[in-house]
Amino acid sequence: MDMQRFRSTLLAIRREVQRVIVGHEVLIDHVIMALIANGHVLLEGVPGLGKTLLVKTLAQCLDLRYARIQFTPDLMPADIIGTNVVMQDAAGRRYFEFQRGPVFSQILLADEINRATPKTQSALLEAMQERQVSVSGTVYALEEPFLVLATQNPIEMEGTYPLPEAQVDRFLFKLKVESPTLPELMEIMDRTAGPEQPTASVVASGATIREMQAFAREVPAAEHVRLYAARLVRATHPHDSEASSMARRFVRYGSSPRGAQALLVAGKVRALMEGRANVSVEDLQALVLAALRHRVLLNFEGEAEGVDPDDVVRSVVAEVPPTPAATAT
Amino acid sequence: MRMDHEVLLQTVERVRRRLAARKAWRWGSRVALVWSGALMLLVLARAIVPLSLPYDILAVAGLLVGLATVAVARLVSVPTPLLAAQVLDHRFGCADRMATAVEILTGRHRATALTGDAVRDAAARAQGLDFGRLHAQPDRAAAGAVALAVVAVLAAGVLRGLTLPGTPAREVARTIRQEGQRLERAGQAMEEQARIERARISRRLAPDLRRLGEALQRERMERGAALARLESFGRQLEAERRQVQAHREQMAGQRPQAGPMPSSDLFRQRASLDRAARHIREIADRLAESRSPEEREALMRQLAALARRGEGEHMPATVRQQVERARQQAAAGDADGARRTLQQSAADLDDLRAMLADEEGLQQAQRDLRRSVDQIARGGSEIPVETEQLPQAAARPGTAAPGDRPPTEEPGSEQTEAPAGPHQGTLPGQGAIAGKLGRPTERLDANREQTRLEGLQGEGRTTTSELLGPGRAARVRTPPGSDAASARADADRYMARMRIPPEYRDIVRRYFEALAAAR
Repeated sequence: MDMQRFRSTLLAIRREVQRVIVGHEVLIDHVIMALIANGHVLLEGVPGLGKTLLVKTLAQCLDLRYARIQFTPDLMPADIIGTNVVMQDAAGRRYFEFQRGPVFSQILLADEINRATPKTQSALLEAMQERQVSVSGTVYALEEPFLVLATQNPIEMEGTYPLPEAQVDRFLFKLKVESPTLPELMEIMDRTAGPEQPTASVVASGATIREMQAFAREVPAAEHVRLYAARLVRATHPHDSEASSMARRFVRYGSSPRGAQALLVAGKVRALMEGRANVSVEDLQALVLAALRHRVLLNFEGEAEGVDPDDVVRSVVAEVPPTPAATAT
Repeated sequence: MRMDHEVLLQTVERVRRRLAARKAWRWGSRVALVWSGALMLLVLARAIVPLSLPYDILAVAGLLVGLATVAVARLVSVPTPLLAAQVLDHRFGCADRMATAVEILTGRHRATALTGDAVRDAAARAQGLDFGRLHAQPDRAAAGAVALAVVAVLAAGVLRGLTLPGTPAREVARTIRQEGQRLERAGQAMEEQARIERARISRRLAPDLRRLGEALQRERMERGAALARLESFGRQLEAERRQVQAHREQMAGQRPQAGPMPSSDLFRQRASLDRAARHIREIADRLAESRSPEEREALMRQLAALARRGEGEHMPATVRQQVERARQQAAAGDADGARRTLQQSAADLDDLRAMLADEEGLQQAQRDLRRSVDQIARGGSEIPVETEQLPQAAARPGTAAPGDRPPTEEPGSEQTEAPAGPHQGTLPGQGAIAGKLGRPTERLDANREQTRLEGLQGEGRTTTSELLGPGRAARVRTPPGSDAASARADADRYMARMRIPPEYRDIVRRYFEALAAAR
């Protein structure tokens, strides 16, 4: 793997996805970045914006196993990870056999994840972080690459169970799916109302993705860039000396260290996507919203005033200067 | 990799040098800007506070300090390679390529599969950079500093002498004008006195003193400039006075003295010489007219006494010798020769007397200048008049005032509080008049003393009077024979020296004129 091949593969993936998905360029890039960064994505948006189609298309062009779980209040953990069922062999002896659930896939779409109970939601915790599933004392490793794309509806709050902080923190990015613009909507109609549906071709295998994931980790990041990522995360903490003004006022808990990790790893992938062999401050600034918005927990005042966590993160970016010595010189 | 390494380090080194120069210029510019700003504030503050500073020199000094700061900062403030790389990234939009590469090359970053690519990428980017964007020249602050310094210097000239009402600066300006008026009057008095006394040097310098006084009134002069002009003229006066003193001492056959002769001694000598010259001329006239042997014998005795004691030892030895020679010529029957010799002696005494008058006039001008210097230096606060040349009437209570009006206030009574009232001190019979009139006029304490001159003058005897001024230890005298113009000049001089309310000026002048008429 070299930079050229990495970049061409990424561009090919993007091109194939964009053959099916109209618009959403930033969203597609972020999802691909999360895939290469070996992270999971929480998609937030109203129904009908193409979230499921995006995930399916990605799975198609990567030749990865794809599974979709529609989360409902009566969904049980076993429905996700699988269960032991009693089997009988030819001799009439009975034994337990583990029937794998949909989590044993490589791209998992957890649709409307906030409709399941916390108990069911937490069934995904181990799979997302450890890339393994434990059932009755037996550990089953999940095949890499493993990408969870969860969706949730930001409007319908009745009968939903907000994701616990521990689970939200395990998502690399939280992406907002916006409604298409007028030209995009026209294009969607043109593509879907015709006799032929656009399909994506396979451009990379799972092995290639794993190779790309390892390659991306080799990208060097200068000390001041890493320091900037750490300072951004620290600035979301209300009691930190570098906390932004909005964080001091509206935030209860700031981002966990996973936020800094997510920033740096995703920044490396973005640097390669941009044809660079180093992480820059601009990479972090481009990713900070997606990486930190779901890790900022608002306090009562923030909730009461309807503060958007995005505004808090933006204030952090505005108030934490990158490499102050360089800008001052 | 090796080549990339060198290209990158050369680039960073170049940027370091430029940044050091740039930072040095910035520091220097800021220092010069602050200096110029302070200078401008000083210029503007002159309208409130009396400041006399060499603004042009200060402006140049500020720019030089800025340049010195540039030189020092250039040496002590050289950024690190990493900082230079970060600046490069920031200024040229290199997306942190340079800083990352420098960290890799300096071993601050562990080697990975992509570190070589990062260095190559940075080196390739460095080769295409236009370093002209990293200006190492003086920035806008430097131009601002120079402009501000120029404006400050120009404003110092244009706004010179402009003061705000009620401020110390206005008070100093008023004092300068007052002293200018005083010096102008002193110059006029000096000129008149010099003309009367035929004092050539004083007559030559008196117009300069008058013009200096006029300049102090006319030009919007600051305290420093006014003091400089006064001191310059004071040095000129001192040089002239020394020259006159040396000439006078040589002519009188006296030993050179280190300092100036006290004015009272000058006055006494001049009066003595004046009397001696008159006496010699009278004898010369009588010598030509005398017919009887008794009368001639009396003149011989007077000549002998004159040659022996020389009118209080002020007469030079040469003149005494001339008088003795005249006596011998008269005794030998050469009355014409004796008369010529005596007339020559009187002319010599007149010259010597003129020199004394010159010296006295110059000393008086020096005292006037010193007083003005003190007044202006103190910003108009009242200073005590030197007791050497101006006696304090207050030291002698009960002195009669000039004219018929007795003094109404004693010194120190200004502290009397006015009675309370709605218009305190403004209605007749209320308040203290001293607060409105200022200090009481210092009285000239003069007692008339009748004296008689020995010798003959025409028919009968002439009675003259002397004014005994309070002086120091000595007595102030009006020389016998001085005419009314001389008395008026003296009066003007005294009046110029003293603070006399305008309504008293005529009274004082009449007083002196009456004294002169009585004499």
